[in-house]
Amino acid sequence: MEIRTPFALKILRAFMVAAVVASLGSCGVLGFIFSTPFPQTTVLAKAQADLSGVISSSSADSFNLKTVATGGYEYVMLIGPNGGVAYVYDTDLNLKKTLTNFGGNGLMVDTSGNIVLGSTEFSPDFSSSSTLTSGITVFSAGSTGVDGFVDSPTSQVADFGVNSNVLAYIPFPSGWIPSGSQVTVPLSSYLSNLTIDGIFEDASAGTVTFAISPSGNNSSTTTAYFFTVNRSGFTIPTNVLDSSSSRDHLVSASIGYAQGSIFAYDTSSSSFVQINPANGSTKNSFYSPTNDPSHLRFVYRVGGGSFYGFNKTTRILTKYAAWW
Amino acid sequence: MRIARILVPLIALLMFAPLGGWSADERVANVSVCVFPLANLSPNGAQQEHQKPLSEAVRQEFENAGFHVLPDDQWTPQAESFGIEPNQVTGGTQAIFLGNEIGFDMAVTGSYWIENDRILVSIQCWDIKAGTLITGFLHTWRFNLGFYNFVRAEIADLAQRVVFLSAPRLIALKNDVRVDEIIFTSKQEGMEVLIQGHKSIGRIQNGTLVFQTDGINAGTTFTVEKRQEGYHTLQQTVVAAPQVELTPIPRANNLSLEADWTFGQLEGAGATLRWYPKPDWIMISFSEYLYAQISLLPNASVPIHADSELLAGLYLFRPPEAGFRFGLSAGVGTILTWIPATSLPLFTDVYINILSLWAEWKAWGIPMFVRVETKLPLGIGNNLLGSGGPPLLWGGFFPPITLGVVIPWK
Repeated sequence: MEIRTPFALKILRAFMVAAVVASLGSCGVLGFIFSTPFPQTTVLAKAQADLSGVISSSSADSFNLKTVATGGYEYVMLIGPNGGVAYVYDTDLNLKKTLTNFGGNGLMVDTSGNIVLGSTEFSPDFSSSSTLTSGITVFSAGSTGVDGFVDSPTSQVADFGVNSNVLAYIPFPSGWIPSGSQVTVPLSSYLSNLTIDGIFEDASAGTVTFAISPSGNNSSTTTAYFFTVNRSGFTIPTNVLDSSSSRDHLVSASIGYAQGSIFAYDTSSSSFVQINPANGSTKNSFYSPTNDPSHLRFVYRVGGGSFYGFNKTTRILTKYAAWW
Repeated sequence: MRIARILVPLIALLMFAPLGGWSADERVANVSVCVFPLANLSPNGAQQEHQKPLSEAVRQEFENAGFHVLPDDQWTPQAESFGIEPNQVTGGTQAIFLGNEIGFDMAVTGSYWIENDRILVSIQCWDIKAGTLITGFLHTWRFNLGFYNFVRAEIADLAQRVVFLSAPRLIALKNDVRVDEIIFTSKQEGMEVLIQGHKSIGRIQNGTLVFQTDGINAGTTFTVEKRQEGYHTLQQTVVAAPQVELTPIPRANNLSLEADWTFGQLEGAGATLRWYPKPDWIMISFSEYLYAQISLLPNASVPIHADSELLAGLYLFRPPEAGFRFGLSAGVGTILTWIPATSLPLFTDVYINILSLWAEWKAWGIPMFVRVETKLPLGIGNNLLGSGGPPLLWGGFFPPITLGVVIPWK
């Protein structure tokens, strides 16, 4: 096209400027201009521990990442399968202890305020240990959270598991005296093939929040159901999931708990989300489009402040600052 | 009365004597000319009565030279419709604008200034299509009875110069017009000129080079080769005419610098050093891009990324003097990431730059480019980007897009 007059040229220039401004004003263009190929969590990373020298890539998937707090101590623990090895870090990821041969991979704090790992009871500072009463082992209920908790000053519950739609657990008196009476509770009248994503004990609130998914696994998205019960006088209503809140498109291995909220990675919004477990609504979110968490395992400090991710590919454990 | 019958034609003959040496040139019969009235610039608007005879003299001389001079009524109304006062057109801008709008080939503008017994006359001729000044004059005379003789001679000479100088541009020359000498002009001092690629006729000195043609038909096209040490050799096809302008040849660059800016890395900037084994065609480049990753999240750190890249590349298709060029490159790179105020180690993301494509154009004589890159991270060492995934994408969708400018160095 031949521009014949200065006026036409001015009109064309004005149109082009308007088009550029309009396109810049759209979120997509600005999002592109200020985006980055690096994981959004990079800006939150504060510390790292490289476990590639001690955990093989083939076994990394079988390690659970959990936190435990008792007696003024708080630890981040990577727990291997079958009670073989566990790496104990403080909250700044300084290695405090490497544990071996503890007899199982369940983790909890018992009525004595000690840390129970598998079939071994440790003092809060890991300076001493003893084996639980013969035959008792705390097994892992999920890849994160806790595997048992104290429900009264003289009793505790552990060994949670799900068979199809029925949740089972065992109450133990203090001192880990065998009781042998397993409790079973149907969780849903229509959901089956359930998996425990995590059991989250909130000591300050005196509650336990369950995250349970149908057909969940650690690398795919799932619909997670949430319900919260009191630790004291612990009991679970029959078919509790039928009236529980739920949330779709969550990565199972990313589900965690802190400060009364559930946290997870939501693939539908490509975001980390803070979820109200009472109704499944989102409180806050953190857009992280390039962060594929399928090879990550997350755990959150219950009191907040930070969360941790274990990269099963690089076997690097990273501490992140809280984003919410 | 009898005497008067003899003297008046005699005086008229004397007044128009300068015209006798020139005759109408049929070659310019189709060249349409708009002769604007000469603007009166005399103090206080005096001497207005001379505007008409002076302007008429200009008009007549161009008609006598053979040009097709437009009648006033063919252009005055349109000029006024554009808000242009016909009596006040003194510059090329308005004349060329009207020429393009109305559709004539050439414009003649001018002005005069009379004070005491002196008169100053300025006249210019404009090539409408080229948008340039063809020629003109500015002259002062004593303003007396001989003035009209002098000014008519000057105008007639101007009209003939226009015929001669502008002929190749405005009209088709006939074969029987021969050019014995061509003056090549160029801004590039020292440039050697070869005729038809083999006969050197010398170098441009003081902006000109005279070529004795031994007689060549005007309008004949031929090729000259232009060359100079440190510059690209180029050929230019020219048309035989008394004066031919040769365009400069581009410098042959061995080293260049790039300054660039990549979307998604806006909180920083990059620089690249290009080395050309074959000037302006094949290059090895090393680049460094330093930028911060800024987030509005609470407790967020500010990671610093340093992207170093070694690439081999080449331009495609179009020569160095082209205003628009394409190129491609490939190579390897590493992004080092340092996160201040943390105990985190230095992260290393090694990647292969599979293919970079760029388009480069000259804006205000400076090469500017836009480049799209395909970077594939390898996941080597303690890295952030992993491996095995798709090439790096900004916002999950877009490849890195870089805008930059190339600064010739050596």
